[in-house]
Amino acid sequence: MTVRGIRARGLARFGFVTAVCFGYAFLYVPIVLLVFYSFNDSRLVTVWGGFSTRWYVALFENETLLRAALRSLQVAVVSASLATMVGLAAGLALVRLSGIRRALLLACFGSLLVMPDVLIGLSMLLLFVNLDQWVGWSGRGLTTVALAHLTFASAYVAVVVRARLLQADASIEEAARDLGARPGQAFWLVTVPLIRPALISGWLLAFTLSLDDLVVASFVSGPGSSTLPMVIYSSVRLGVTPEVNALATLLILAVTLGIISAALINRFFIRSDP
Amino acid sequence: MGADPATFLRIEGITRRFGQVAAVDAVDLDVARGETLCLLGPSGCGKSTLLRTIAGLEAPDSGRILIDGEDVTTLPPHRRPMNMMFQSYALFPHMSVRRNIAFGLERQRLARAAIAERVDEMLALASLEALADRRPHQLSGGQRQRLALARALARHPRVLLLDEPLAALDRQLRERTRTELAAILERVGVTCVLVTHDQEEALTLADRIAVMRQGRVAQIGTPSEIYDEPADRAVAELFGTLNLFQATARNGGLHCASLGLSLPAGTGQADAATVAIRPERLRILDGDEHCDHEVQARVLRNEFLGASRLLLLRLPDGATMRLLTDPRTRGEPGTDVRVGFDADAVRVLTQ
Repeated sequence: MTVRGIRARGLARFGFVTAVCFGYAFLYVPIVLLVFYSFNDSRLVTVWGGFSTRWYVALFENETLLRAALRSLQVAVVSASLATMVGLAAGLALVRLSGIRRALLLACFGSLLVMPDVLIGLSMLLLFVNLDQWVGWSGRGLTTVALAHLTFASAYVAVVVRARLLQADASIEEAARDLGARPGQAFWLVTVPLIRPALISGWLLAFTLSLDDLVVASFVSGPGSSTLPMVIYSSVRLGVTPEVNALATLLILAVTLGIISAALINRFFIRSDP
Repeated sequence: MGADPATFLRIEGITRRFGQVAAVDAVDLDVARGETLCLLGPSGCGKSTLLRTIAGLEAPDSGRILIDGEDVTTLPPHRRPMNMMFQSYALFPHMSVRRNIAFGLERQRLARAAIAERVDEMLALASLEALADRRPHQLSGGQRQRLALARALARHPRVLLLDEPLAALDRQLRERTRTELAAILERVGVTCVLVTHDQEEALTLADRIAVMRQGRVAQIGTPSEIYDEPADRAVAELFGTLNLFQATARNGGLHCASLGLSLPAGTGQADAATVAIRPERLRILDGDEHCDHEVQARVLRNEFLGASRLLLLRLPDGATMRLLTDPRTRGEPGTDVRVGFDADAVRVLTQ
């Protein structure tokens, strides 16, 4: 190889590595900074004042923040679990229906994916206000937040489940039926294990979407039911306290552990994936 | 079709429509106990739909399916006394080989010991004893095929349904597996309906072949009947190369100009027909040899195929034909040869 060739290859490699570094930096530097400053002794968020865990201590004394975090987790677990069930049903229907009925269902769930959060929040609020007027149900609070999250998260689960079902061999469930399984048995013994990875990642997706949502929750939550993003957002307007960094660090830790364990579970159960 | 006492599986006027198209169109079939019936035809001829209808995976628009006189037409698939081997094998990827075989037995609520015993039998039948704890993705193509067969046989099905059982294998493996499959089917002695588009599979595995076309049965018979006496040109063309010549009506009989051949009346009712001769029924004649019919031809090409030799010949009127013969046969391109064939090699086909 010529000297020029080697140099050109070296340059290309350098360019590639630089691009990759920038990419990862863009994704992870903000998170690393956040974790870093959660151990900052200074009250000012952007000025380093030495290592300390005082904000973690302060966090566990800050009842407003902790309560909001607990509320958000509650909403996220409930809405993700329900959304997984609804999304599973919808995903199955999307694969098994045909013609106009499938097109309509696809449009319904598809539009939820592209609908701006503001519109979802506003329309949900209108629905709940109307429900109050029609049937006197005024449950605005955590229930309505969970219901709203269930609505949009189920669309994401449906998409994930549908993709997995399309990829799977449809005759596997038929084989179960042929071998004497009643429809319910075929579903639980064969189809559900087959799409378990989709159900797990769908649940995680729904959980994250719920935990993350500020806009929809702001519309439909009631008094005394502010979720964590709402509390953080309103406190940031008055100036960030490092306690938020500490909380965020703990959340990142939890999410990371969740994703790793989900991957391990997947690996353990579905080693058969091509 | 009368009430033949040998009939075990009876299909009566089964029709299955998809929209306006009848994928299966009023098909009647009888399968005897222990017989292997092969549904043969090109893709889209309705053979797979018919098989799925027998299995209960498709509901027929009309018609009945009877097993040993019992009407099973409205039974759901899990209550039919038959099992199917799917083209994709449809193995359960999250279960071991053993659990795959046990699945159908567990649904019958058999005692644990009985299930284990039957699974071991099936593992032995399929030569999978050493691989019982593997998952399907850890098996080779041939092993998966045997597992799918063992799983379908585990419940003692009264009728075994096979959907393209060898199509997923590569060519080299297919021939060996076909022999194994034939041996297993013979040992088990199960009544069998097999779907394939491969005529070799049909000829070697079937007791009888039903050739299907556009949702109907075009011809049914033993492999040699179908091969030697095809009902029409399309059936004949399913099985290998064929020399075809036009024949016209003359003096109450048929005359084929290319072969200089006149056939007596009664061999063809139409004004024009096609005369067919298989390449392996033609012979090159030496000096004093004689045949029922003879024709002069010029060798155009001479191809050595290993086990045989294929000659491309031109007839006096310009038509060409193929001749399959012994590999030691000479016949240089450009030379003239005398070609002979017996009277029973000639088939008159309707279009």
